[in-house]
Amino acid sequence: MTRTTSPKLTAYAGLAAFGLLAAVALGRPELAVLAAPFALVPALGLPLAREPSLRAWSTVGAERTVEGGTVALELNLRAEAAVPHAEVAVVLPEGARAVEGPNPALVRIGAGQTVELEWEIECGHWGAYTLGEVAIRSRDALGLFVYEQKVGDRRPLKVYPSAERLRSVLRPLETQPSAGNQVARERGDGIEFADLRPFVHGDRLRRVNWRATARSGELWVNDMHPERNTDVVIFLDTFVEARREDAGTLDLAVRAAATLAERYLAHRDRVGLVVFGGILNWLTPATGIVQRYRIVDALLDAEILLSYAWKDIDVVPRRTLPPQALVVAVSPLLDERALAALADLRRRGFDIAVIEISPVPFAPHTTDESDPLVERLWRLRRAARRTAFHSLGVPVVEWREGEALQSAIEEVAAFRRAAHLARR
Amino acid sequence: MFAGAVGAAAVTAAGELQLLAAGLSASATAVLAAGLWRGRSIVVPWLLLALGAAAAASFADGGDPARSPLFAAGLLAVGELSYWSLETRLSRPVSGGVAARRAALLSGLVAGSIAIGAVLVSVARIDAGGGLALEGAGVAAAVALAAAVLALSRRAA
Repeated sequence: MTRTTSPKLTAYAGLAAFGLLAAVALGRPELAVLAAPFALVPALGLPLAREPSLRAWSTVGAERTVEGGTVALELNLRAEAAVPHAEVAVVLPEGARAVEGPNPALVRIGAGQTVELEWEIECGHWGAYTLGEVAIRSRDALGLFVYEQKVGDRRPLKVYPSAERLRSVLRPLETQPSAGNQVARERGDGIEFADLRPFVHGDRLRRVNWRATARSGELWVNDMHPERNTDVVIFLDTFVEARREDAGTLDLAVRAAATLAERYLAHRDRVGLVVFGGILNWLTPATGIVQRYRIVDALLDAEILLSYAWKDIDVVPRRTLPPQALVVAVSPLLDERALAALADLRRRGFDIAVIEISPVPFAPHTTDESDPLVERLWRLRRAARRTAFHSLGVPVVEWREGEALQSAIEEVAAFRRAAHLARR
Repeated sequence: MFAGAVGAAAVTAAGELQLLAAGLSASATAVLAAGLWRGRSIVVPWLLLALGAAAAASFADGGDPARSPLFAAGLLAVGELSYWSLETRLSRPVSGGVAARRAALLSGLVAGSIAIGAVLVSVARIDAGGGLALEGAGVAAAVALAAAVLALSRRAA
């Protein structure tokens, strides 16, 4: 607890001393009368000033919530001796605000009484935080001293990024042997019709297409596409970000990564994660609800850590990138190391799609005369990077703040369809 | 508003120094309004000093010294209300009785200061003579009071 003298005590003591000295110097007793009340307040208040004895318990309503969701915070304050004036303010994590309940709240606590306070905290930004700590500023009866302390139990609170709406996700070129929801390109047992072919020894009778057989006079059978699952690796570039006060490219990247992971896991695909930046973090592909929480927790830890060390794709463990996996890279395309790693992956035969989190809306607006040229050169350089990826057969689509992620996904799908046709 | 009322009372009682008292009161009230708007507590002692000077001007020009306890109580009320406003400008009361208790305390302080002022006015009317010794005692009392306040504040902190 910290104790400080209030400005009131200093002011009153100064005014009282000044008034009394002026009264003596000028021989005017009225000045002493004017100064007397300002001496009276400290004379009464100082002997009565006591340090407040407060005990507090706080309860946080949830351990995890989604960006934009609310969490209830309850605080019980008990005072051994009366506290006539206490301002109670919740220590809020970044991006959070109290939507219900006054913050700060002004309370008076009687001796031996317990005051219960409640707030609804809206979490505006994803991340791992602590909540439950409360700052209390109390004053003595006449407000001559200010006592400040922090009380309450700090509880972990995970705020998960809000998901973007996605109707469909990007289909990988290759599937895995396990059963899933993706229609495989190869033929086998499945539901989706693929083609007709003549009957061969060993074909099941129920696969015979009787209409075709009746027309041709010889046995024909249906070929099917089996449903398989896929391996998807989400590659998050965290080397650098473009940022303004309230948002940055990393925020959008994390939101996109969380959305994609959730959608692919809902399709029973195996999803892995590579956070490639100053700190390398990875999760091997797996499926299920546990993997979903693992991925989101790993995304919450994602941060931009400035590093000049050169890193290439060899630092990523091999089992994190299974063969025939689709790698969806989410990157602002600002750092050469991430670009080189993606190009390297492509050359190794991985199926890659890049969602570019556009840093343009986050770039500062400048007024210098030379800036238009600088900005043009910067944009041209970014366009050249995209072209280099296109020439490798990697689709790069720009996703901006406020736009639907679905449109970016559709654009990637269109690029891949066009590339597929060109190959044929 | 209360500062304006105290200033107006000082101007009314000021006689020939009315212009000076009016200037001091008006500037003090304006500075207080600006200070409260911006949340600056530093303006309060200067406001009280200016209003006190306006009140002193009224006594210098033949004002009735018997009214000085009322001015003193008014100044104290202005100071207390200003600090009250500054202390609670960001917070919202959630438990009942905070304002009522503070208002009662303020009333008690105002009443006490009027009583002390009345005693001081009565004491000042007693002709105890004059001289260097009495003036020295007065200065010593003022210095002792300031020192006592300082010592008490240090001990309490």
